[in-house]
Amino acid sequence: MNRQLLLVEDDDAIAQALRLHLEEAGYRLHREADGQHAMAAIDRQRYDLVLLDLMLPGADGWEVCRHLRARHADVPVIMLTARSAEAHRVLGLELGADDYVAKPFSMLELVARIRALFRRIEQLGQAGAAAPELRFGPFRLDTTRRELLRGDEPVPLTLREFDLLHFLLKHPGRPFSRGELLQRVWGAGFDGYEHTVNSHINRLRSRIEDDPREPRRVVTVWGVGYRFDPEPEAPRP
Amino acid sequence: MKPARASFTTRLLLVLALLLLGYGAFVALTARQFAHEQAQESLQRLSHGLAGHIVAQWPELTRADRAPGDGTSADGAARKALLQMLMTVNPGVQVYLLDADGRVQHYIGEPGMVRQHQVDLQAVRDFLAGADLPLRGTDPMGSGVARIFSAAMFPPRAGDSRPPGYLYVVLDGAAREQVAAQVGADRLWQGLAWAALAGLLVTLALGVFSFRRLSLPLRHLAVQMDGYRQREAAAAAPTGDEVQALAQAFGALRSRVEAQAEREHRQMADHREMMASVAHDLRTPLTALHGHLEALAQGALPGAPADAAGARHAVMQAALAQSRKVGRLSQQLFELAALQSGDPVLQRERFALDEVVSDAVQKFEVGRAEPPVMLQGVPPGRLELEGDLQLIERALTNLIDNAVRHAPAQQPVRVSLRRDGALAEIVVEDSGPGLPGELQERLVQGQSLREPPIRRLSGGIGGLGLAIAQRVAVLHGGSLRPLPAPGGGTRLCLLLPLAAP
Repeated sequence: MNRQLLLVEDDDAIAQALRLHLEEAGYRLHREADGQHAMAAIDRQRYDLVLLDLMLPGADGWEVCRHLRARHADVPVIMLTARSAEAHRVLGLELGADDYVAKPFSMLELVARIRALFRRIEQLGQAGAAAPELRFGPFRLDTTRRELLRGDEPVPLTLREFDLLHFLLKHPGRPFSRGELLQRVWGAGFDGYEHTVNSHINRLRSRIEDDPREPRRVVTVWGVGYRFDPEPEAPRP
Repeated sequence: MKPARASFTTRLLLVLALLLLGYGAFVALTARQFAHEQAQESLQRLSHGLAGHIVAQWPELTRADRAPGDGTSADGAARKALLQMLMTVNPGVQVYLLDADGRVQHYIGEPGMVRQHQVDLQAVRDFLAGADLPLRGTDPMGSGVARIFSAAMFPPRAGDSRPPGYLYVVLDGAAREQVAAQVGADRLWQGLAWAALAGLLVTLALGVFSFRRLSLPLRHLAVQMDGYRQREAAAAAPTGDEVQALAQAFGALRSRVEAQAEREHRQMADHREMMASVAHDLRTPLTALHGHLEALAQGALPGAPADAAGARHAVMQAALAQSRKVGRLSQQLFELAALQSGDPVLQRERFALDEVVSDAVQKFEVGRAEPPVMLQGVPPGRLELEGDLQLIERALTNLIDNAVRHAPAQQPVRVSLRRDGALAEIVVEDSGPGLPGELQERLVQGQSLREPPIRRLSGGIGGLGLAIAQRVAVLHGGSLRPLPAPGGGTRLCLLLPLAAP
């Protein structure tokens, strides 16, 4: 399938290099150089993925992202930022960006992430059909509705937390290193980005552990990685 | 407690009041003196002809000269009665009969009352010659004070050019002076006191009003200065009034401005040095990158044409390596600039440090054969930290990366984590050549690795990765110190305070 990408980037040199790499990878690319035009383009057409620079003339990346989310909530967004410090805002999912790359970035890595993102979307569709419901302790993970329930109460999870939990549930009792989780859940792992796994595991623990300070479901194996224990031993008094 | 201090206005008013009092006293005393002079002149002028009149009216007085010492004669008795009468009519005067040489011959009063028997005849002659008044002469009562008088010469006898004697009347005798002093002093001082008090009060009231108005800007300035001082908490609390406080504040301000100027000057110098070093560090890989790209563009590849594809690949790999170097450098500079800004924003969260350390080590295990990175020591258990996860990971990565780049191949880089009371202690050790002298020295002293920047002999900047790690440690209330490495190599210890349980 020939996917249609929207690139919003004001720098001609970067835009040109990206066009080379992305068209080589088989994607069709439409480029806008300023925020206002990007929002107009979003209004005209639904894209399969949006690559969005944060610092833009006209309207900045945050505004364009809000605009996109208001119209097409499910279109994945990858932010291109000059500051890795902004990654927290991006990944905090305030605006639902799915990924980010910090300049200077490798074009090959970016193409790899785009592929991973599309692959993940496809896999989710298939997995949901294969095993619609996974259970552990008092929890139920509904993969069709992408929802975690404790009894009948829905537990709020972000997209990425859901993916992480889903992956761990499918491989109980097996430890994964952080790099493996990054590869398999996030789709790619790059320097300066790995700690996001720790943040997500922290947040996931706060949702599914009885005492997040003494985790019993998502446990650490020193020097190895993380393991999911669906039926943890009862805490000793 | 802060001692109360009089405000500048109060002190000004106090000084004004004192000056006014002094001025009042001076004016009063001068006026009193002038009034006294005038009174004496008037009295003397009024009584100018008194002695002459008496001599003309009672010529028998002059006869005393003809029978000296005869107090019991008929003439003597008459003269005595006359003098008595004169002094009764005007008790303020004292009447004396003088001989031709000015010696006192007769007087009315207690025996021995006259202590100064010789009267200065020059004053008497001046008086008779019509000199300017007031004219003062001898007080025969010996008060030592010269007194106004009236005098007349007895008519000279026939054939004798010298007068036979003089009638000498002291106009402001002791009795008169006593009464005048009693009455005058009281009235004068009372009046003066009232006038001075009233004047003082009116002037003070006006002074309070006008001084307060005039010193309003001064007080505002003092209040602002005090507010500034309290906000800055830099200078000591001022002593004295507003003006003194302003002077102190000005002094403190000047010191601050001078210190700041000096600091800025130093920072500018550091900055210039940093810029020069950054330019150097960027130029080196960029020159190499540019050279490789030029080679590709021109097809100037080494080796035989048959190996063209392999040669192109090798040149491109070299170019990519240089490009990565530029990227890493710019990233480090960017991070350091952000961390060194006045108020870096930390994205704090509570996380398990043991997991991050384990993960960071694993990051180096994957895909890098030499030198190996390994965890050492027993599992530390769960160690929670409240901090910026990304920055802590960056610090750990920099420490391990630094060790990996300097350790010889096959010699492992060892990372350990343990709890030391309320601190987590992470030690990264390698068997490389050890830290350069200045870097080691500054870490031992706990000094910043960035201010001033460390220059490498090659001209570039050194220790960027460690500087970031150090800054991250400091921002989290921890430290980065070198540990003794007796077997050679480098042992760096990152101490971070753990989250409260």
